[in-house]
Amino acid sequence: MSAMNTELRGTSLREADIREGRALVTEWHPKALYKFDAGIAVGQFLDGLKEGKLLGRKCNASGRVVIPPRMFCEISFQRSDEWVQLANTGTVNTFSVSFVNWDASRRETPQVPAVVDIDGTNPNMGILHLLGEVGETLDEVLQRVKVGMAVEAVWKPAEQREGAITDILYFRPVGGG
Amino acid sequence: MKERVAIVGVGYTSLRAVSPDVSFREMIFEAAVRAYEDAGITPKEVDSVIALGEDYREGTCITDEYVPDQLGVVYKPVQTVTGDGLQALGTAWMLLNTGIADVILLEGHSKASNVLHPAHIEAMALDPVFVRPHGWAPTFVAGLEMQRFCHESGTTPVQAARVVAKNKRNALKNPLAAYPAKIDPEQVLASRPVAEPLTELAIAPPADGAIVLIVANEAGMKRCKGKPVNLDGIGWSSDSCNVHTRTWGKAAYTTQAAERAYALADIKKPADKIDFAEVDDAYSYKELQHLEALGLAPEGQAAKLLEKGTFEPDGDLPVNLSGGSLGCGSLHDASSFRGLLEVVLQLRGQAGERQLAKAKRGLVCSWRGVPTATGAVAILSGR
Amino acid sequence: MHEYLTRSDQLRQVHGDWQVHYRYTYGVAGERFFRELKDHGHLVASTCPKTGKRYLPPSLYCEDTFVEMTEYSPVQSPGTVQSFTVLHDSLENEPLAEPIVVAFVEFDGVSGGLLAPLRDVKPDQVKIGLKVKPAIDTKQPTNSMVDLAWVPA
Repeated sequence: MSAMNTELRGTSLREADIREGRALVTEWHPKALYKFDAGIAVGQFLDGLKEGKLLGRKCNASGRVVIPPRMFCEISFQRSDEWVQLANTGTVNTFSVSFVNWDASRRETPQVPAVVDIDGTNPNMGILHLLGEVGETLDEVLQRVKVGMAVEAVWKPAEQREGAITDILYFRPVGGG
Repeated sequence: MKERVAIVGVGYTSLRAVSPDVSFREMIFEAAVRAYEDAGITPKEVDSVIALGEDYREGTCITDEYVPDQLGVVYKPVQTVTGDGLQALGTAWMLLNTGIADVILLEGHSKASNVLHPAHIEAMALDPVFVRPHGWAPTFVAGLEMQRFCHESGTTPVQAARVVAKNKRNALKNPLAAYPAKIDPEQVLASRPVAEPLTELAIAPPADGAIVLIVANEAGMKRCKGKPVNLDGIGWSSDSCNVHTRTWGKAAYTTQAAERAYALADIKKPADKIDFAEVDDAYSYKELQHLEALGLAPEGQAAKLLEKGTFEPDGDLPVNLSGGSLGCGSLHDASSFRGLLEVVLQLRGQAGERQLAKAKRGLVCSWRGVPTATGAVAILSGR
Repeated sequence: MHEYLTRSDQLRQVHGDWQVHYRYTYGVAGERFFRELKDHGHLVASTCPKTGKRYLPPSLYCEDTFVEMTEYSPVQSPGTVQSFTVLHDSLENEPLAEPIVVAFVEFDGVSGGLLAPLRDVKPDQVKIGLKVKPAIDTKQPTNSMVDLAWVPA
């Protein structure tokens, strides 16, 4: 932590001040729980995931195929027209090598979140997921992963799939890790 | 008002207790398609977008980012007002007066059914040091307010219960209402106590639904074909946000907001000039408290005028012809859009079974709900 | 695959759980309020040096003059119930085992007041104007508002 500042008004506190009762606090954990209606498009997308399929939706007016699917096209502003079953493959649009978990706790081995453009959809039509089998250290990952790289989905076994985005474990380089 | 500003398009879904067949996006898309049709425009004609949304109610942070797609306004300026619908309308009025935008789309919705513990969400608005640690459901604030309002105004719980009976009966004629019913005040009082003297039926239940409005200035109106309804005045205000120093018995925020709206609309005797009103009734007594704060009923007299029939559809000043939140369901911050919708339909002559024979000027009075002391007033007129 | 969902067995939902944990410091005035509550068993208000206006709960700045308040003094009982309600619902919208009487109490010469449960009186006996005094838990204090209740004076 930085040194005590003498310019700004206020009382600097450290964790010890709170732990040892020199500064009083009150804690609150709200029950911020939700059950989101998936609706027409995403509901069926999730059913597709349970069956090991990636589903997109096509708008004939704009010619766009989007994933995750939408019942409307935000460019043509019309109802989209057809369901499209897409391949399990795509290309890496961008990626990051993360050494922190979602709660900011430190990781020993990195996670590699990536945006994967799914084959058969419009350019820059990606889904956010993880890359796997790409290395255990920063150097290994940077060696193995390139923007534009071809990847394929690795699915959970059928009996473990729930109809969630996590039914895909990760995307790995085509041709193996 | 400097620039002429009018609502030129309205679109909506019906309000329902639950809406499991559609996502929030699909629900909003339906309302938006209707609004564009009504205004006779496409998304291309929209210059700017103002949406309502509070992260904790949506279950997603920076909900602004989730707004554009289903409105067809990607790549257009979008802002979210974490306030009430009339505050969004006020923001639109300001933008239209600057010429930054000539046609503005407003969006408000509720997916309250997806929030599993709404009282927990409401409790986040309570002071974290001096109030929230008690762990009380925030309805207690409404109970305290009602107790004080009844004490000061002489209103009785059974008189407040008449508001419920009137509004739910009015809702029988509103195809978009979620909770229409034929109910009498005794049934309201006999329902389960929640925060006495409030009983369960005296509290507006939540509903899901979406409402989209298109608003324009004179230049923007040339692009639109919808029947314009003029915004004559608008004002919004907050009383003390501090629960400990606020005015318990009166809706001081409404009086302040109304003063500003009446001044802009050049109205000096509101009771004479306002033909009908949509007034927040999230809790039964609020309709009466708001009417007195608006100057549409003398202090302490709203309950008596209600008994006389003044606020009935065939009375001198019909209030909540739509059914209000008690009859339609509460959309929380978007409830005032439901009020605006009714005023627009009435002034256009499109209110069907609920249509008033003579309506030139309507008022909408909103409140952000417990535990806030914030609300707004808007005044509209037909040509 | 469908354009509309027309059967109830086609409906899907996704769970969301926001893990947000807050830890609020009391601030200068709040800190003083709760220490006085625990150590001396009384309520303190802060006083504006310019106008003499007293605030409950105490705060660091006077909301009228913006002058910093450094003087705290005990609030004289009894207080008066300005409003009350009998609360039946929990935060989970479930009925409480026992309804709680919530009372907002003001004190003479002090602006503002405090919210706390009202005990030792039947709900149907409570009226606006009832005189009350604080009952403070000094045996097992939590240094929070739950240490405070009202009882008839």
